[in-house]
Amino acid sequence: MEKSEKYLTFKIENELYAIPITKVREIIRYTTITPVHDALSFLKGVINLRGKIIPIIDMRLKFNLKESTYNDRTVFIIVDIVNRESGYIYSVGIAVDSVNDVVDISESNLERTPEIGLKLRSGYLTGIAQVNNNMIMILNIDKILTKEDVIDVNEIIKEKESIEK
Amino acid sequence: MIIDVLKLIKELNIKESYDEKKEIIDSINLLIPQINSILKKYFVDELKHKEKKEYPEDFFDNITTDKKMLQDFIIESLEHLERAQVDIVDLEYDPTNKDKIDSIFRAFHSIKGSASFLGLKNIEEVSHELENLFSMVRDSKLRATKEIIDKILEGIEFLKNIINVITINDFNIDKIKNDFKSINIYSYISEIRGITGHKKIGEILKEEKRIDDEDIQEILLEQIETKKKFGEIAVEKEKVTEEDIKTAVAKQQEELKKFVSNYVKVSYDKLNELIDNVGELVINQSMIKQKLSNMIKDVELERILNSFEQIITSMKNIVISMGMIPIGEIFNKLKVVIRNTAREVNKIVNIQMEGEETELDKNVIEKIYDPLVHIVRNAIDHGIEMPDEREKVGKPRAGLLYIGASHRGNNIEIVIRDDGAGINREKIINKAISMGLIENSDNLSDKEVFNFLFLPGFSTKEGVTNISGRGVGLDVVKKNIESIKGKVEIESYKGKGTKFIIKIPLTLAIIEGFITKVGTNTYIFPFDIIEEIITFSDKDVTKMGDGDYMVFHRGKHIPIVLAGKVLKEMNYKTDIKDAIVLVIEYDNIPYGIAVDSVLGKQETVIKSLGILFASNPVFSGGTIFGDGTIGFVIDVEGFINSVKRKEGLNI
Repeated sequence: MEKSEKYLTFKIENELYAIPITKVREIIRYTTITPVHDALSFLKGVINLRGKIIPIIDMRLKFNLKESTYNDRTVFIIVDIVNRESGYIYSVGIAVDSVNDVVDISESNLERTPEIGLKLRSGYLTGIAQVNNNMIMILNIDKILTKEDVIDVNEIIKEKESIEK
Repeated sequence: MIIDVLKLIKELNIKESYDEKKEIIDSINLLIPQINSILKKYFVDELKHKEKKEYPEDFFDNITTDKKMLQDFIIESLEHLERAQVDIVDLEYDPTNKDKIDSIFRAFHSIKGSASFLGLKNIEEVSHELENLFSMVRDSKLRATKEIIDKILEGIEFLKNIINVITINDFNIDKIKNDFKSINIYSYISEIRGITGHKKIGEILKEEKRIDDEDIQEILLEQIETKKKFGEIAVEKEKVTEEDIKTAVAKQQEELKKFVSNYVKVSYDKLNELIDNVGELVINQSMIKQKLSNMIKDVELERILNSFEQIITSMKNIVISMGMIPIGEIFNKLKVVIRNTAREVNKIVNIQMEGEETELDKNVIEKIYDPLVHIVRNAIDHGIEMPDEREKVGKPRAGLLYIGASHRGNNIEIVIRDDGAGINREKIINKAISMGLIENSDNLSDKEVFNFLFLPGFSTKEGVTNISGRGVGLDVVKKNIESIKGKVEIESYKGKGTKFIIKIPLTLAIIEGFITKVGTNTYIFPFDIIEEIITFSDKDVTKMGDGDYMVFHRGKHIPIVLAGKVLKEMNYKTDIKDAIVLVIEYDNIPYGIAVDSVLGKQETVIKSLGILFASNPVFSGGTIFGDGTIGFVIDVEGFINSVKRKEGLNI
């Protein structure tokens, strides 16, 4: 039998994204966010998840999309991230427009990310796949949330600013 | 006939080996059974005598008089011991390091060999016991626990002392013998045997009341003749059953095990997870208490909630203490480092230590050791002057190195202070200028100047010595300390000495928090940094051009920082007359921090905000209040630095 893995798919700005289900700790409904002002732009704030402080990342802001107000369909996907430096696992919530489905994607259906033609930098994706006539972009969640990447993004912002000037 | 026997007995006293003695016994045995019993008594007495731990008459008779050989032995053994000492200190952090274990084992083994050759029986026996003990570690029968390592370090010191007796007495064999006799090695040996678990089968059987003293004597005697095992003889003589022996052997093993593993080994990750969970439990408990007691007023419920709180508090304390080790453990090892370093550079250093009982997270203890070693070696190498120099400036010849640990609020503070020459400020400034870091030293505080020392590649040392200057500078010290979220500062006074202050936050940090509101969020300031809380009227305040304020308060000008501005809050009070100002002192400079309102003082559990906040030095963490809302805990140093950065100051 062909090797396949289960993925959770979700929508951001009407596009389908997926992450491996093994990375997902839980999915929760929108809950009050305590905003953090002096922080990374895509870091929306923090929530209290049963006594734990979990940072929430807004994927729209991360992908430089239009910011939308959260409504009752907004969900937070709590994912486990392994910090490569310390080896600790920590949880991060990602805010997405809506959660869609859980799908099987076999290895052979997973294509390498094309370098161009996508809104995201290809580094953020592990690949793309076609499921039920929909294109799904598979996010490399560790890559998106590592510290190096955080610094990377800041540099991009700086670059942008300097170009704008 | 009796005279014959007495002759034999006399001969017996002179003869040495058991074999020879046995020969005589055999012949006597043939003569008269009564005499046999007298001899038995004699033997038992001798055995008892041995148990009494006194040196036999002839114990030191064979010490060589060859001075050259003794000299060589001393040099070689001390070298072995020094190396073993270093290795064993390493072993504590890496208890299964095969190379180190082997090397220590070899050290004791070769000392034992040489000592035996030279007739130094006391040294031979002590090193023999250490070798035995270590062979158990090598064969993984025993884990190199702290107790064992301490015992071995003690043994090494002991051996060094014995060896030094030879030099002290200038190789005069008679004097040496005399001194040797006054050094009791057996109490140490019996301590070691206590670890190696050599509780005799006979002793166990006696405890079990299976046999009595007389039986033991009888069996011991038989053992001398037959060289059989104690248990075998006991069974043969039908003193005990085979079953009894089995139980006794099992007991003996049990005793050994007790020493080996009186602990449950828990992985550090699991422990961390537990600490984390308990922290959350504390928060949830306070949430429940607050919610329920607001909803229901009931005496019974209150009682239950209170006992619930107590249980959780005690649980929290236990869990926190589980991962903690007293810092004295590394202090002891630092003593070795200090002693060795001082000897290397021919300086005299007195050590003063304080707060050894201060407990730190195991993880932190491991990380803090290297930086401490570095600082200590630096202090001896560069701080403390040579004895003659010290005398010239009116200091005692011996330098003083103080190492202390204490709780300071939410931190553990470790201070390393020497009474040496202090750091040469000018030298650092010159170096900084030559490196292009600064243009001149105007307006630089001592702290700012000394901070240059923590920069990579910043070394004012002219020559590289054995001790420091091996490519590892203070920048590495700083990095190591920062990896455990600690901070390091230098204070130094010319001619008076240098002080390193290391501050390390506690793991499950619970602080007295001062809860304030700024804009839409709640922020917590550590209570112990706040000097006073003031409000202002117009007349005291000068408004500065950039929207900041300066106040004149108690004879001092205090800059006021609007917290909302630093925290990029929205809708915070910008008019200082409406705000409340927390006066803090940082780096001996008072600052006022204006917040919207003060909500009160509360025990605050600091929770990590995760790696996404790592680049944000203003917060030391977050907290969850009883009502479920989140507050941010301010890191004062980060806060002030952030202000300075915004003002374009180079920090």
